[in-house]
Amino acid sequence: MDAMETSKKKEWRTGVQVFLGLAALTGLEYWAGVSEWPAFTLWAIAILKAALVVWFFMHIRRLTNPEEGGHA
Amino acid sequence: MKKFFSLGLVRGLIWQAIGTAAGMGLLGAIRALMGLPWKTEPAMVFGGVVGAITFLAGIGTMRDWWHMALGKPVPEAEEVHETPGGARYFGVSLDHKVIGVQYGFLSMITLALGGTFALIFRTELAQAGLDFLNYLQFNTLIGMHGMVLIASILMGIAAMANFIIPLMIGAKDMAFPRLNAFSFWMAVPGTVLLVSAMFVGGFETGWTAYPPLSVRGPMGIQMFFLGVYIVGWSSILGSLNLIATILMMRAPGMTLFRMPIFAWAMLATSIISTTATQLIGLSFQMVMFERLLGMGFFDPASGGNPILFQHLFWFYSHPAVYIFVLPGLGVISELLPVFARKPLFGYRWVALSSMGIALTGFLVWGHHMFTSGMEEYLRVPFMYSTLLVAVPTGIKFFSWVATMWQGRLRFPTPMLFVLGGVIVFLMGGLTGPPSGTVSTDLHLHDTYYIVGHFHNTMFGGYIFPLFAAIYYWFPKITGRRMSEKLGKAHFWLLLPAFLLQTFGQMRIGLLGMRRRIADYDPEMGFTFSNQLITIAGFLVAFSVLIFFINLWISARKGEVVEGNLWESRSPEWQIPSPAPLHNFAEPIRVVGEPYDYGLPNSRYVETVRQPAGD
Amino acid sequence: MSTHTAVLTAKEAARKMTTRRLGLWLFFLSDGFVFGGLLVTRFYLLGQARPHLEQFLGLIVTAVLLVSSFFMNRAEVSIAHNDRKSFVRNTVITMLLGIVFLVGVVGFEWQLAPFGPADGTEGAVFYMMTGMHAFHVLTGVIFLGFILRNGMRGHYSAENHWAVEAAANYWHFVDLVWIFFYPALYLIGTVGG
Repeated sequence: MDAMETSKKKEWRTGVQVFLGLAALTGLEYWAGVSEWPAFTLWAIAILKAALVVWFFMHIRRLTNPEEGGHA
Repeated sequence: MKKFFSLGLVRGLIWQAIGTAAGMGLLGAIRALMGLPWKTEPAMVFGGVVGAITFLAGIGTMRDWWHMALGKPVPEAEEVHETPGGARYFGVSLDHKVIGVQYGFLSMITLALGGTFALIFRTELAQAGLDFLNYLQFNTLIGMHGMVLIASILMGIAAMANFIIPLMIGAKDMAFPRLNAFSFWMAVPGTVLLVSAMFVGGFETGWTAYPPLSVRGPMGIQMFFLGVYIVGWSSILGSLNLIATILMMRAPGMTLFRMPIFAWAMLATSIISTTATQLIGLSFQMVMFERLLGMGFFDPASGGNPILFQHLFWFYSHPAVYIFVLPGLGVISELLPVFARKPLFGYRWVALSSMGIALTGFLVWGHHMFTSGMEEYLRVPFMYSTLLVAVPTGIKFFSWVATMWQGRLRFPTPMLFVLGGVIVFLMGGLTGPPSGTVSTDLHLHDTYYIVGHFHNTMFGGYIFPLFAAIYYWFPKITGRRMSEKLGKAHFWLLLPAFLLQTFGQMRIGLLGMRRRIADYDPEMGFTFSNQLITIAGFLVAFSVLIFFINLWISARKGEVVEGNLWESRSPEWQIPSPAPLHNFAEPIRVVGEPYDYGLPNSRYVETVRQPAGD
Repeated sequence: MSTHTAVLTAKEAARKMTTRRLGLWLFFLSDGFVFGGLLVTRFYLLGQARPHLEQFLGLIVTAVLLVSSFFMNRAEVSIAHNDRKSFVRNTVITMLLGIVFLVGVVGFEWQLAPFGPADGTEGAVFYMMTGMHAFHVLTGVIFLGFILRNGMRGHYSAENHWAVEAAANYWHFVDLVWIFFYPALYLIGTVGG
């Protein structure tokens, strides 16, 4: 049970870090938008955010590692 | 009578009628409460959506999912016991073989329907002047001919894939059997809605539904959009299922490059149809909303841009052509080695050429828009990408010729249709580059030349291989083989009649006959050619009638065959015919290359003997 | 022999799980093409112009959706570690934030926008994009409702929570779409062209 608790804490911490990263990028994006940076910088930020979501929140690597995610 | 009403299909259709009426009433009531007058168009659209949903709910495709959502136990699809017999073909079944046959039925019905539409307007075109149709009827018929047959082709492909793919890769069923049933039953209300477009005013645009005409024309276009949208979703979900099946359900030892080649073709097709289909759905949805809510996407009068529609529409509708032909070309590659008794030449290249066609197919849609006012700098890039498709297609042709070279050819009916398909598709291929090259297309665009070219690709790439597949795999379904005599009559009538038809079409196209017109000037001098085309069209229809009769007779009285009729190495022929309930009584394992015909001591599959007891 | 069978079934279970995940991802890929088509529509029709929208409101709803994704992830991690209480709490927060997002877009932004759906390309693009996205958020909230109900009845555990994983992934997918829609609607280009 203890091992499970630590693993949960660890994954929660990753969640917080990813969230902070996304929040910072969103802030940067907003600022870049209002100060009219070139469009490609905004696209670059969006792609970076998307990559974070796909990797950490949607766990795309589970497609090739069926054991991950705690089932069975 | 009670038995009749217990059939799922009947129940579903009754529910669809009730749902449609209820939806129309509900929207009318809401509008009345808001103080708005009755308007037929939004009520019809809303009713159509509700009717499709009530069809699916009424027939019971969603019951298990609903139970899952509520956390109730639901049996695994493999453990569902279905009572054998004819009735399960008319209701929800999770067996991929039943669903394959269901798709086949629907495909044949829509094939007959779409063909009949063509006969009607071909009769009108047999001589100049308006004879018995008015303009709106003529336009509705050509549009319906196009879209009903597209639906028919999608279902025919799904029929082949559903029935054959799991048997071919040694699987018990598809990856998601419930989704599979759902996809099929979606196609039924979709087809009903599509055909209903004829009865609620028709439409003027042809199957491409270009705005602004589609924004302004009669209301039938809405039912057309709705029907295509639903059939499109059916195709998306079906192909999603196929990708998962092919990638995840193969028998042990069957690596990707040891799959039967038909599975490669279906994989490539499914990649296109899961993704690109969304774009035709989206573009049609946007026109629907433009009509219903006045959203100004495409009508220049409200600031929109009709060229955008063409981009979105052709982003699907060109790759769609590859969706239609890739499975057919796969059937040709699959059957040729069996009847030539030689290995398939360049297996890997053929497998990858399917993928190549699928991927290049995404880059060529602009060649439909050379004359439409598209940005001019896009013309030449689209021309080159279009011509690039000839490379992977050429690989297939070289492989076919090299496979036949010095083979011990046999010519039963399926082989005849395979060869017919190769010849007709070659005609389609050779007439393609002039249409894809900007300088020539500027003259050929919207003429009957394009009609001829297109029918060559569709018959060579789909219709002939489909018939080959049916003659070939019919014993797997029924345990009987189809009559060779009728089959040969079918072929020898179809091939010359069809070639006469399309050469006639290309000829009058080059002489200046425009496509999609109900009338032409007799001074142009192609009335006789038009009459020949009409006669040829009727001969084609007659040959298909022979085919239907053959199906009917052979299913009941055909010669009984149980074993490996064509001496194929493919897994589906290693089990008895008709294919038993859970396909493989004992699991199989792949131990060799799929097409090593004529090589001594080579094996493709072997049965894994289960250890007796535990 | 029985261990041999157990190994086989574990392998079979892993294959089933991967098949389900692949199916879901293929659905995302397919649905992604709808949103891609809408992005193309936005730039084709409006080009470098962008609609007149409430900048601040846009930032708020974006933040709300982002925070909801955070709680969604927390809920999934919780149930994967058998923590039902935390799962329920985090799912409820996610749902509420989803509803706040819907109210923000449909209830405020749609009312405050100086154009209706029938007002030219600006209106058409804006209402189609936000409408399609809001429809997905709505279905996401409904899915969350189902897993919340079943989770409160104790149907899920660390070993058995595929429904939660699927609903959570769908929720993140909807967030992913907004990651691209937000700059496309609010930040890129200049108002009034």
